[in-house]
Amino acid sequence: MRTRIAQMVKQKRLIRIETSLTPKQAVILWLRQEHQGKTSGNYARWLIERPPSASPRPRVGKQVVDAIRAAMKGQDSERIQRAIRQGHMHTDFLILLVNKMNWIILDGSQVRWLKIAFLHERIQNIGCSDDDEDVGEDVVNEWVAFVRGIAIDLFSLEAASDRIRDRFFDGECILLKDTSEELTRQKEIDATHDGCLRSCRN
Amino acid sequence: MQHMMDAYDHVATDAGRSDLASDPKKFQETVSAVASKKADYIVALAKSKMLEDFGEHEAADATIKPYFLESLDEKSAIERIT
Repeated sequence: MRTRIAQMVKQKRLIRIETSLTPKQAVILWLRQEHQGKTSGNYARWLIERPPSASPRPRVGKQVVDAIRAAMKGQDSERIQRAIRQGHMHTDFLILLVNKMNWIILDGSQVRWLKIAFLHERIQNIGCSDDDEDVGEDVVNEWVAFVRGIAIDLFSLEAASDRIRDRFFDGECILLKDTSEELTRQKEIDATHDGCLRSCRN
Repeated sequence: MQHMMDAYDHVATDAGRSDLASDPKKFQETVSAVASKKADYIVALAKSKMLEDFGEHEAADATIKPYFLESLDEKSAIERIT
């Protein structure tokens, strides 16, 4: 009996907390409870298995709307409606921002892999070439532009994600598991280029 | 990053063109500038979609338009070169 009462009290406290969250707090709670640690496939399957009302945009939006309504109880109704709309819009924006960031990284991933594969092949060909004239100024110039392009694309994407995470989510992780792993794998594979090149040269 | 840059520095040096080797400071500055543009673009994408879904169509267009025009400029610049 005592355990049941304690559970009910805990449940009520959780509801109170969840209905007093700001847009940012509500979205961070969503990230922690439902988003972090999942791959994009897991997350999609998890969402599909739930009713439409459980989707983050309507559900977290409602949480924030309820919180604003409760906090502004008794105030001018027009003012309440304005605050509700603003809060709802900001919550929606934050959730969309998380989705867009993940989508952009995963969407460009295949192209980046192909570029890395092409780069690796060039390194092997140049590195293993017996003819020193093969590695002329034109080849090096082409190389410089290509490697820089890939490196800038990859590292700027990661830096952009970090900026958004720090600016809008207080440093909370916004990337799905596979999004984050994909970036890390693409950065790490670059390390093999150096080894490959040196072994061919020696 | 360092491994990737090391790899092509190695080739540049072997080819007698150490002047083409990377400048880490300059590279980092470029990454930072591009990251800032990318972050702004992603924020604009999310904001525009949100405004659209809340019925603020003009504001949505105004938010994404500068990035759309910029990408058109980049495309025409590429076409001019090629």
